[in-house]
Order: sequence, then structure tokens, then C-alpha cells
Amino acid sequence: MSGHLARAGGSLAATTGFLPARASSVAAEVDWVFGFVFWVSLFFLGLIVGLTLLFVVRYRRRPGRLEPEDSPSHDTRLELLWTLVPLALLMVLFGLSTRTWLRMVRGDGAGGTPLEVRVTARRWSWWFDHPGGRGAPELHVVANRQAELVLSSVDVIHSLWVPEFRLKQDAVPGRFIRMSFTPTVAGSYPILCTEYCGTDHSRMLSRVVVHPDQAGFDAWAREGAAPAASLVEHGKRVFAQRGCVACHSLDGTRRLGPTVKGLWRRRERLADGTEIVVDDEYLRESLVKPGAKVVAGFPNVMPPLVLEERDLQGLGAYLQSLSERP
Amino acid sequence: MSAPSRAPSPDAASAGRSPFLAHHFEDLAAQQDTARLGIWLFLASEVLFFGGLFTAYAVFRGNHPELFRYAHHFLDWRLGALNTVVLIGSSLSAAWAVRLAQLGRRRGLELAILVTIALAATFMVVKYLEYSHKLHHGVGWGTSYRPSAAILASLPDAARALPAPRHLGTFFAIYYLMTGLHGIHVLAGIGLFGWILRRARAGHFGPGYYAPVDAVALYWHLVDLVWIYLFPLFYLI
Amino acid sequence: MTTAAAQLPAPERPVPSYLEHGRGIRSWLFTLDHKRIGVMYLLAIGAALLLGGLFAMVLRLHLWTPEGALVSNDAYNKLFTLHGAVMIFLFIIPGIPAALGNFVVPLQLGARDLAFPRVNLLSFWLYVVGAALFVVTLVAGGIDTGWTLYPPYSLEEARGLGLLVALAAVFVAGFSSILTGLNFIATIHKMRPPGMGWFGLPLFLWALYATGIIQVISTPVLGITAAMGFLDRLFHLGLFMPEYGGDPVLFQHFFWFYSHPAVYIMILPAMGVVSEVVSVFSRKPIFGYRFIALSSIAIAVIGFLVWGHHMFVSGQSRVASLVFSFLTLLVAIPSAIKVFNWLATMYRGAIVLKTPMVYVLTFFAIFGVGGLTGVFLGALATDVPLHDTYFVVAHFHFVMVGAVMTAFLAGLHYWWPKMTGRMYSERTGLVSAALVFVGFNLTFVPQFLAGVAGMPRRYATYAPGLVVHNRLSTVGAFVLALGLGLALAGLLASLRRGRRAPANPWGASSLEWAAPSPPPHDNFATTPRAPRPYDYAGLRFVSEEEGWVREGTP
Ligand code: HEA
Ligand code: HEA
Ligand code: HEC
Ligand code: CUA
Ligand SMILES: [Cu+2]
Repeated sequence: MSGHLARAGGSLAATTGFLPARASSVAAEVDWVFGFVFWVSLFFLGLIVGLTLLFVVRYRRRPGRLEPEDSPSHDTRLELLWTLVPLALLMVLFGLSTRTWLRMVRGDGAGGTPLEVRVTARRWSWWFDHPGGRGAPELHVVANRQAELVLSSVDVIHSLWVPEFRLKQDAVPGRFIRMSFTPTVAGSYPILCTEYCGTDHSRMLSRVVVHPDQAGFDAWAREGAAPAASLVEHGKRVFAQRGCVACHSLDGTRRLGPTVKGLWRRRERLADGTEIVVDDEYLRESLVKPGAKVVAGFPNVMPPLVLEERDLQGLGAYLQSLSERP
Repeated sequence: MSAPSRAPSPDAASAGRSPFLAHHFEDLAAQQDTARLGIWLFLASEVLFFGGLFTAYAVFRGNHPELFRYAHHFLDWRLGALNTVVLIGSSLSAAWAVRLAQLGRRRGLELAILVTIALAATFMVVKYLEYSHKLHHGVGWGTSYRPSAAILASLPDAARALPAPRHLGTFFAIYYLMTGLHGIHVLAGIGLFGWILRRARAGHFGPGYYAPVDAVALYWHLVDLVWIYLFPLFYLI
Repeated sequence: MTTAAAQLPAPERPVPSYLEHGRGIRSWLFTLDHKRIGVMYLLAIGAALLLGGLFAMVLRLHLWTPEGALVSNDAYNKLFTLHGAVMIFLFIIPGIPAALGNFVVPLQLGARDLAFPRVNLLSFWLYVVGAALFVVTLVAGGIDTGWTLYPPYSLEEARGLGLLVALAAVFVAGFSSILTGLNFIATIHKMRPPGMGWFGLPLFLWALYATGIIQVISTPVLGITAAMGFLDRLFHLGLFMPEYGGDPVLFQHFFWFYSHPAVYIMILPAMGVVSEVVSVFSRKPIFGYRFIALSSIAIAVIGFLVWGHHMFVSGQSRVASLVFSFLTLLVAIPSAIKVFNWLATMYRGAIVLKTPMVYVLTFFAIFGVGGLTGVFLGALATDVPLHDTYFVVAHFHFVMVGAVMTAFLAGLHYWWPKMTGRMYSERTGLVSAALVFVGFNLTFVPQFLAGVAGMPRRYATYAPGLVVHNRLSTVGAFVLALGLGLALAGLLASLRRGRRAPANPWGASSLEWAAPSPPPHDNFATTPRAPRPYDYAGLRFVSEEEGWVREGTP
């Protein structure tokens, strides 16, 4: 554990200035917004402190200056000035911040298909299931290729933070939450848990290794990977064991329920008339509370499942893999 | 402007002040006016208190509509409707009590209060029957939802055709929470009307002073109003 | 000139002060007198501050070394939870309104009491019961959930009995707060003296009025949330626990629907104090009265719509985040108005550097920093990296300790002569104000830097690279404690050694200064006529002993 601490400290020591190093495609932009607010704030703080000092020195009550001078008790134009100038600045800030934030949460699609990693948080460790089946307590990604994390938790809320990426996302039990980013600088950075989760919250540390290129990642993913440990394999087993095939065909034929062939990213019309695109959040919901969104043309008869978090993760990965193989 | 002109404690007889006029008010009208504002503010916070539960209802209904569609079959809308009528009646008699207090009609006032109390008690009896029936058949809240075969068999066919959704206990948690909090308010109302009845018997109220009757009646209207929302939300849809 | 003026002190007062009206402990514990209730609140709140401060000092000592110097992780987690909960629920929320407000509101209105004295006493006792339950929580093993009580963590079986007691405490203390707010609103509406329209109110009353609205409307939601949490934990209702079909993020919405407006319950009264003090000690009418008054209401209203800014990384929908961010930035505007109007009040004034004013001057700088760093957190792009770091910790200590507690101290010194009839020592006051300012900045400025550099909050252990930040902060906390201790000692000493206070030692124009110091049980013999607000024209300084007197008074 203290090894992680030392690494976290090491990366901080390497920091220049007061912000951590920048290692993701959005970091520079985030810092730019930070700088904008910082200088605006510094200006206003200077104004407040400066005026306070100036007035105190000039207008202190002292012999020969017992009474205030005449001055207006209000001035609507002046007051509108200091209402509207901050308002304008804040609206500019809102625009800048929102633009950057949308890029932060949407990802930039760099490097082709995103590298998808399923993240399971538990007290007080992280588990990362990488494509190709390798699971590890550390996150491995590739420089300049977008990574996409699907976060979930088996117990309480945790939050994944990589200061050098300027990104952070909660992992909430009972949900899948996505997080995208593109690392830009190869290296190793600390991962910290930033949602309070009990005794060892401050020791729930890990790291993210950014491989310089895909080959490096592949080499790592191959070494010592037992195929049986693969999440997709696991999901396939669960699908068979839990009797899902009874109602869901793999080849497109219609049984009691919709086929799972090509399910991922399929547009689905629901019984209430709305339309959705199948994604993790929907998949999870379909498994945990099938009655919530019923596909049009099918009866609401799918039994809710009591599944381990890992089974759910596996099913999600498996169902998704069915659509990726042509 | 010196000591004698202060009236530190409202000594009714000597100062000619009403015995109900507190020392920090000039006259009863101002005092009653203030009391009214106070009770409205209290009701505003009550609305938000229930509001939290209504929000929970909306969120869970949004997330699990199937729960609500299925579970409302456990509730007997006829009993709910009966209780709605009973409560509306009691609201009428409470409003009537205020009027009679203003007019200083003491016997009428006592009668109106008694009617209100009786109706409120009726409501609670019906509620008791509903609760005990459910609890007897294992329809509890949360994880203590373990319905008996008998009650499942008594559901309408439409419901029995469906598989039971998971987490039905959550529906009943919200049901018991909302109707339970409402029930507590009804009980408190009965207590308050009892107190008003005692004071009415003692002849406290008249055209000049009826603020307590007014306040309790306002409170009662809110209790009634909440039920008017609860009834359709749980029993009908 | 006015009837109130006729009340100004005669050397031998025929009427005993409220302190002498009735003797014995029962005459205090069951008093309906708003002034005595205010004083009892003051004592209770002071005790809460000491307790919360004690926890904070242990926290800071523990963080002396990266691996934690003092206690186990579990003990640390309990410490910051109790520190936060005690400070928030028992110190700062009742703080200014219940202690100072209770004392001052009727006096400023020329009234004899609050609208509902019994409700006031009830609210005090509810507060005491709530506080007692917190102490029981301590005995029952404490809680380690953070003051935000997020499920599923908080509602797990393993949290034990302490959590149930704590939820009950929050519930009860919440009702105390509702009743205080309700009482103030009714009083300010209905008990204004002849000649005082809405725009004749002292701004402290506007601030408490806006606060009252928030208290009455948002606190019940906290109550019902605590109740739901309580029952969910006992009976597994499936409201907030995913295990039983509940939604933990729903709890966060409920919690912040109260707890964000609650930060304005803290700051608005503080702003009210600042408005009073800055005008009196500049000897000038407040600048832009209407803008200040209405901005209190604007803060109260917009403040209800921004709670989601605490949940930007919780997985709430993006649209929600955008809307919450937008409204959060808007809510900075009314604060900006106030700050600049205060500064303009000092322009060309005759500024008197007495202790309350010095506290207020430090308030300007500190609230500036605290508020402006709130803007960093309200903007989405910068909140994501800063969320749940020491940057947030520093932000809220700047606004709560540096701004609200400072304003509380300003108000306490300002009204102290009125409450006790004694003048505190100006020299002790000034020295302690300086110590508090220095200590405060030394404690919390390094925390901004630590947060930016990568230190998450609620960490019992931290990266060795941050040891300097943390040590500075710990040293600062001791300077701050020293300053507070000195302020306390100065005030207490004045009770025995302080000079007798005149009715109006500062030359203020609001009505509380027209009553003797300390006021008699009934405040005013007859309802006084209200002066124009912040009208200093007729006031003349007589002597230290007699204070300021309105011209034309016999
Ligand atoms: C007294 C208490 C108080 C006050 C007044 C404020 C005021 C503000 N707060 Fe703060 N806040 C807290 C107490 C308070 N806060 C607490 C306790 C928490 C953490 C809770 C927890 O998680 O435990 C918190 C957390 C918090 C967050 C969540 C951070 C996170 O967890 O990620 C955010 C995000 O938006 C925020 C924003 C703001 C804003 C925009 C204001 C604004 O109201 C500030 C407005 C004031 C100014 C801006 C300064 C004056 C204006 C000018 C000088 C004009 C010029 C300005 C510009 C042009 C920008 N606060
Ligand atoms: C009004 C609210 C308030 C106040 C006044 C304070 C005051 C202080 N707070 Fe606290 N704080 C919170 C509200 C407050 N805090 C909240 C809500 C949290 C979040 C909790 C959570 O995460 O759940 C928090 C968290 C928090 C943390 C972060 C813990 C963590 O995340 O791991 C730290 C760390 O330094 C800290 C420090 C301090 C210090 C040094 C003071 C000092 O200002 C205290 C100074 C006061 C005194 C010392 C008492 C008075 C002293 C005397 C009269 C003198 C005599 C005494 C001595 C000489 C010891 N606080
Ligand atoms: C009793 C039959 C039955 C069984 C067994 C069953 N399902 Fe279903 N499932 C259905 C039906 C019917 C629907 C369509 C109605 C709905 O959306 O609820 C459905 C819908 C779904 C959907 C949403 C599909 C879409 O097109 O949007 C997914 C995903 C799914 N099921 C996965 C599973 C998995 C995984 C299992 C096994 C662990 C399983 N199901 C077992 C009947 C079944
Ligand atoms: Cu996991 Cu904090
Ligand atoms: Cu907030």
C-alpha cells in the first residue's frame, strides 16, 4: 500500500507549478478554463482588497475628520454596472466551461474504436477487465487512443480520479456509468478514490499505465492471460446457465423475447411508444428490472434476475460482443 | 411612560385586556392576524414535508411503473373512496365550526367539533382495518413483504396473469410511509380538536377571539387535501 | 424627539434589566423572554463550537504526518464526521439567527417579544434535545459516514446504532430551525412599529426574513429524508439501498435540496450583520439599500435551484448538470451586488476601526476568496477535477469559518454591550481579530494548494509530497484557536471588569440602541416610532459613559 502512496507522491513531486502534470487530451483545456476563472477572480479579489485598504486609509475617522463627506446613498447606474459586468463574465465562463466539459464527458474518438475497460470498484480496491480478457488491479490504456471505462461498484459509492487526466467519475452500485478520455502521455499515474467509502478510503489507490502504443498494450494483455478469466467468456457461461437462451435466440429468430443478435446499439421501440438505443445502462436495467422498459410487441414476462455484479458485468460484455463480431 | 404604565403580565381584570391577549401585542386583532400567518407558514413547511414523500413516489413510479401498476390491486378502492368522503365531510364540519365560533354559537360549535372528531375517528377505523388486513396477510413494507397465498388469490385476474415484479416491498414502503404520516396527522388533528372542544366548553371563543379554532381548521383542511392526492395516487392509478 | 428617545438612559433606572427580572435557574430555562432565550442559545452554540473545534484540532494534529500521526483510520473518519455534523447542525445553522437574531429582532422592531414566544422556547428545547442526541451518538460509538450521510455506506448494518441516533438528532434539530424561521417571518411581517415600511427595516431583518423563508421551506425536506433513512435502515424499505431496489442517488438529491439552501441559511444572516456594522462604523447610510435587501431574497430564491452542483460527477444526467451549473453561476450575482454596495458604503465615510468593523473588513477579503472559489466549483469543467478535494474543503471553510464565523464574531462584539451591559476590551478584541485572520489564512490557503495538487478530502493518510501543505495548515489551526480563545477570554473578562455600557455606544440608529443596555424585560414601555433607517444625522457623541444621544432629547 505504501508503495502506491510513494508513487502518488512521486508524481506530485514531479509536478511543476501548482497543477499536476497534464496527460490527457482535455487537460490543457481544463487548465485554460481554470486559468480564466483564476485571473478573473484575482482581479475581483484585488479590487475588493484594494478598495478596502484604500478607503480605510483615506477615510479613517480621525481628528479633523469626524463626519463623513456627502455622497449619494445609492446610484442605480453604478449598481447596474456591478451587476451586469460580473453577469457578463459569468456567462462567458459558463460558455467556456460547458464547451470544455462536453468534450470531457463525450470523449474525442481518437485512435479508432475506443478501448473499453470494465471497472469494478469494491472496498478498497479496483478491478479492471480489459479487452482481450485480461483483468488486473491496475488500469492499462494506450496513448492517443480513446479509452472508455464502464464503472460499477459492488458495495458502496466510490469515485475514480486521475489528477493528471483532470477527470473523475463516481461508481455507483446498481448502475453502469461511462467515462471516456484519451491519454496523451505515456507513463504511469495515480488513481485515487474520491468518494468516501469507509476505513481505507484513503488507501484505495491504484494506477493507470499508459502504454506508448497498441503493441505495448497487446503484449501486456497477452502475458499470462488465461482465456477462461475473460469477462466475455464468463458472460457466455452465465447466459447459458441462467437459461436466457430459452427466450432469447442467438441467431435472430424470434422466441418469447427479442433476439440478442445485434442487440448492442440497436434502436428499440418500447411499449410506451418511446425509442431508445441499447447501451449499458439499458442492458443493466433490462436484466435487473425488466419491467421498467418493455420492448414493443413483447409481453412483460421476463423474470428479474438476482445476479452477482461480476455476472452482470459479464453478461453486458458478452451481449455487446455478439454485435461486434460480424 | 414610567414603570406603572407598563403592563408586564396581562392582568385581565385590571387592565381591561382580554385574558388571551399576550403581553407583546397591542390588541387581539393583531394577535390573531399574526397567529394566522404563523399557521400558514407552518402549513407551508408541512407541504414540503409531504412533498419529500411525493417526490419519492414520483421517482419510484418513474423508475418502476410496473410495480405500481401491479401493486395497486392490493388496495381496495372502495375503502379509499369511503375515507375520502369521510374526510371531505369532516373538512366541511371544521369550516362550519369556525363560522359558528365567529358567531359565538357555543352549542353549535361544540356539535360541529364533535362531528369532526367522529368523522376523523371513522377515517382511522377504516385505515386500521385496511392496515391490519394487509399486515395479517404478510403485505408489509420493504423486505417484510411476504404475501400469503390467500391475498394473492384474491387479486383481480388482470393482476394474477402477470408475474409479480421484484421489490414490491418498495411500493408498500412508500404506501405505508405516506398514508402512515398522513394517519399521524389525523391523530394529531383529533387531539387538537379535543383541545378546542374543551376550550369551547369553557366558553373561550366568540366573535372577538376564535384564532385557535381557525388555526386547527386550517390544519385540518391541509390534512384533507393531502388525502385527496393520496387516494388516486395509490388506489386508482 | 421620538418617543423612543425618551427611553434613553436615566442614570438610576427604575426598571430592572432583563437579566435581573426573575432569579434562579428556572427563570432562565423556562423563560419566554426572547433575550434570555437568545443568551441561552449563545451559550449552547458556543459549547458546540468548542466541541467541533476540539475535533478539528485533533484532525489537524493527525494530519501532521502522511501516514497519520495520531489515531486509526476509523477514528479519523469519525472525527471529521462529527466535526462537520456538530459545526453545521449545532453551531452554524442556528448560529447567528438563533443566538443574535433572537436577541435583536424584537428590539430592532421596537417590539416586546417575538410573535410566538412559546414556539421560541420550544425551538430552543428542540435544539437542546437534538444536541443531546448528538452527544448520545458520541457515546454510542460515533458515526463515520461524513456529514453528508450518503447511502449505501451510511445505511449499512455495520454503521450501528450511532447512525440511527444521529438521524434522529438531525430530525429534531431541523424542527428547531423551522420554528425559528417561522417565528422570525411572522414577527417581521406583523410586528413592525408605526413608521417602518418594508424598506425601513434594518438590513439585518431583511436577511433574517430571507433566511426564514429558506428555513421553513427547505428544512422539512431534510426532516423527511432523515426519517426515510431511519426507517430504510431499520426495515430495509428499498428506498435508498440498491440491494433492496432503492436508489442511492435519490438520497443525494434530497440531501442537497436541503443542504445547499442551508449554506444560505448560514451566510445570509452573516451578510445582515455586515450590512449593519459597515454602515454604523462608516457613519454613513448603507449604499444601495434596496439592492441589498432584494438581493437577499434573490439569493434565497435562486439558492433553491442549484443543489445539483454537488453532484456533477455522481452520474446525474448531463442536462441536469448543465442547468445546475448555469444557475449556480447566476447565484453569484446577488452576492456581488452586496459586496460592492458595502464597499461603496465606506467610500467617503468616517471609518471607525473598532473590533466589529475590523472583523467585517477581514470578512470582505475572505468572503471574496470563498465566494470566488465557489465559482470554480460551479463551472463544470473545473469542478470535475476539483470535486471532493481539499479545494472544496478550503472553499467551504472560507465561507463558513472565514466569512460566517467572522461575521458572527463581529455581531457578537457589536451587540455585546446591549446583551450584557458591559464594554469589552477593545485592545483584546483587536488583537484577537488579527490573530484569527492570520491563523485562518494560514490554515486554509495551503488547503487550496493541496486540493489543486491532488489531495482528496476525507483522507486519513496522504501522499508524502503534501506534507508541507498539511503542516502549515496545522500550525495555522493553532494560531486560529489561539485567536478564538483570546476573543472568548476578552469577552468573558468584560463581564467582571468591563466598563458599563451606555444605551448607544456606537452611534447606531436602529431601535435596539434606543432601549437601555441591557434592556428591561419588556424592552420598551411604549412602542417607539421607527427612525429612518441608517439615519445618523441627529446623533451626537456625549461621552464614553453616556454614548451617543439623539439631538433634541431632553
Ligand atoms: C456559508 C456557506 C457557503 C456559501 C455562502 C457558499 C457559496 C457558494 N458555493 Fe459553496 N459550499 C459550501 C458552503 C457554502 N458555499 C459547503 C459547506 C460545501 C461543501 C459541502 C460538502 O460537500 O461537504 C460547498 C460546496 C460547493 C460546491 C460543490 C463542490 C463539489 O463538491 O464539487 C459548489 C459547486 O458549484 C459550490 C459553489 C458555491 C457558489 C457558486 C457560491 C456562491 O454563492 C458564492 C457567491 C459569491 C461570490 C462569487 C463572491 C462575491 C462576488 C464578486 C466579488 C463579484 C465578482 C465575481 C465574478 C465575476 C465571478 N459550493
Ligand atoms: C461551521 C462549520 C465549520 C467550522 C467552524 C469549521 C472549523 C474548522 N475546520 Fe472544518 N469542516 C466542516 C465545517 C466547519 N469546520 C465541515 C462541514 C467539514 C466536512 C466534514 C465531512 O467531510 O463530512 C469539515 C471538514 C474539515 C476538514 C477536512 C477533513 C477531511 O476531509 O479529511 C478539516 C481539515 O483540516 C477541517 C479543519 C477545521 C479547522 C482547523 C477549523 C477551525 O476553524 C476550528 C477552530 C475552532 C476552535 C479550535 C474552537 C474554538 C477555540 C477556542 C475557543 C479556543 C480554545 C481551544 C483550543 C486552544 C484548542 N474541517
Ligand atoms: C421467460 C422468458 C425470458 C427469460 C428466461 C429471459 N428473458 Fe430476457 N426478455 C424476455 C422478454 C419477453 C423480453 C422483452 C420484454 C421486455 O423488455 O421486458 C426480454 C428482454 C430482454 C432484454 C432487452 C432486449 C431488447 O431487445 O431491448 C435483454 C437484454 C434480456 N431480455 C436479457 C436476458 C438475459 C441475459 C436473460 C438470462 C439471464 C434473460 N433475458 C432471460 C423474456 C425472457
Ligand atoms: Cu473507495 Cu473511497
Ligand atoms: Cu451548494
